[in-house]
Amino acid sequence: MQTIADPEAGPERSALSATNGSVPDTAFRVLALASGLLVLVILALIAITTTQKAWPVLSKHQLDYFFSTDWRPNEQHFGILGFVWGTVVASTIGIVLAVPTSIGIALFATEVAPRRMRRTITTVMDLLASVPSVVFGLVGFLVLKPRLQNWYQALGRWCEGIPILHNVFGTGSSGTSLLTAGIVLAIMITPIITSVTREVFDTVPRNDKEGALALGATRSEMITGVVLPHSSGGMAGAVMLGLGRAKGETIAVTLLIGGVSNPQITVNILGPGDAMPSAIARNLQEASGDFRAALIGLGVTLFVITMLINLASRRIVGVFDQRLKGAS
Amino acid sequence: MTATTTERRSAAGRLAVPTDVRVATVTGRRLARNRVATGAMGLAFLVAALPLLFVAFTVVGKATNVMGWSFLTRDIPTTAAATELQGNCAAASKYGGDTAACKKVPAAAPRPGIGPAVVGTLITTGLAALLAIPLGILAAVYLNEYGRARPLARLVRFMTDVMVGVPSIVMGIFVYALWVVTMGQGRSALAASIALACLMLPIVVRSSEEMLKLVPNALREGSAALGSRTWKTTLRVVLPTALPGLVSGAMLAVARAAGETAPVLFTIGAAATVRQATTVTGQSTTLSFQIYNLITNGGRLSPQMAWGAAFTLIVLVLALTLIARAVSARFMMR
Repeated sequence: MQTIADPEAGPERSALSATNGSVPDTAFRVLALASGLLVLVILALIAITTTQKAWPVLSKHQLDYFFSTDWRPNEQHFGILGFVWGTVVASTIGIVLAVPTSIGIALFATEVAPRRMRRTITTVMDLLASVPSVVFGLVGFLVLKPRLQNWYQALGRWCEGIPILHNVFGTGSSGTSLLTAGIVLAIMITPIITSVTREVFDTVPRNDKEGALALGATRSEMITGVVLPHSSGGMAGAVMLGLGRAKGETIAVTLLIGGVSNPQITVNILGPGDAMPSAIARNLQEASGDFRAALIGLGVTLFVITMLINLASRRIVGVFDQRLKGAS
Repeated sequence: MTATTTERRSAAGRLAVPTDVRVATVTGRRLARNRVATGAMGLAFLVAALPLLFVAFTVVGKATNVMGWSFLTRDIPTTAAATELQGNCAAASKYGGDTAACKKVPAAAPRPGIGPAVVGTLITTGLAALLAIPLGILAAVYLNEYGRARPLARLVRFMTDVMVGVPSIVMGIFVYALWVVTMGQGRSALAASIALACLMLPIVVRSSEEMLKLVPNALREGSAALGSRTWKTTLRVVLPTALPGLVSGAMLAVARAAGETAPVLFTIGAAATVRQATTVTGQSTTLSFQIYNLITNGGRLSPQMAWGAAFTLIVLVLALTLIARAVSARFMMR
């Protein structure tokens, strides 16, 4: 094994790796390296195989595939914008509901709750995170759907005639809709955002907090003045993490979003829509030919969005951290 | 700070300042805002706990009349094709399963059972764990013991983060496109477990690396001073020290995989008898997949069976999660 100059490794590390020529050591090193590289290999394989399978449709429709809302499998026309819209709307609703709740819970756990209660909060959040997606779908579909239908219809009737509201809350809802999908997404991403923001809040220096309190700030003033500004980068990262999870969530959304064969861009969140993963889940079983290629193309799009969200969250967290350093 | 006398005194006592220091009392709008903010935080927790309680009570309440040993072990009724459970036969033909049983005339009313799904879940998840956990821990060993801050290790670390974020359905499509379509291997428990392993791998890598980081460097140095090479130090000292943490991380990944439906959807096929589901290379089924099936292709018995399956799945996943938490709590205490 070669000892490569490693700036991070102290003298003791380089002493550890000075094991030239040991067969088991080289073998173990290669094995570990191969396992590490496996992650890269799998990601590359995902990108290559799915793109290759989707290529017939992607090359035929080109940009029209991404920017058309015309999804007519029988006529061999595939435009995914309607599904992208459904994913964006449902994820946005999920984020809007989940972020304030999660920040509230995280603040409650770090700043308000007594020590013993903190463990309860962690447990509840862990349990909520461990409920399988399909179970949320089942409860929503069999139990909540009929009730939601009544509530949504009442809301729709109440909003009738009021300018913008009657577009957003349309009448004639069946209970499964973009809003229902958004709510279930909010439930599913709350534990994730909570646990990350909690860790971030825990890193706020105690001195800063006590300093604010010593100056006579109330707890809420201390939170808005010290804790939140200090944590902006981490909270942005948490939101991106939640967004990343929301966009790919499949089964619960498939059961609760309504599911229309050719979704259009609509602001009616009480109406049915469809999301990218749901369209795949519903149709890939029986699809063949170009239809299958178009559905796999949705998967490629999701994969690309995942990469973009990861890169963007790195940038955002970096920018916030930079600003924080500038401030102090 | 709402300054009641006792609070002031205890706070002052802790900080060891003279007790006669006057603390300005907070009144009016500031006091109200503080109270509202505190109340809102507590409320947020209650709002989040509500769905958990609702799901728990609903599933337990609906599942009690169907749960039992025979429900967990009996075959999924497909014999009553036309009348009772069209759903499963529709599913069988849709996913290329065994449709012969559907044509038989039912001898008696079918009795619900989800044996194949229980067996299938254990086999596919177990197989996925066997694939993902050793590779994930080895990758973590590379990152923490060999790669450290080298560019390649950083790339692997970043890509692991990306892979955690890849939607589970993309893993399903990937294995479907590669294994089923390109390689023509057919849907099977093995294909499903490969998809689940792809899902678990980055989770295991991340949690394992965190655990290896916690192992004090002094142990590695001590081992090296006694003449051990890195592989021996890692296998004899580092990994055993981190073992409880590794186990708990792996179990959380297994719990996640056991509850997933999307990766299994296009890769597992369909199975209706326990005998079918006990093969690795043949078609199978899992609890989560079966629940989705029962909802979307529902027959008369379907809701009842779906609740039973959901109860079983939740108990399985919760058990794994709670054991993992207990293990990691003990690890953190040491």
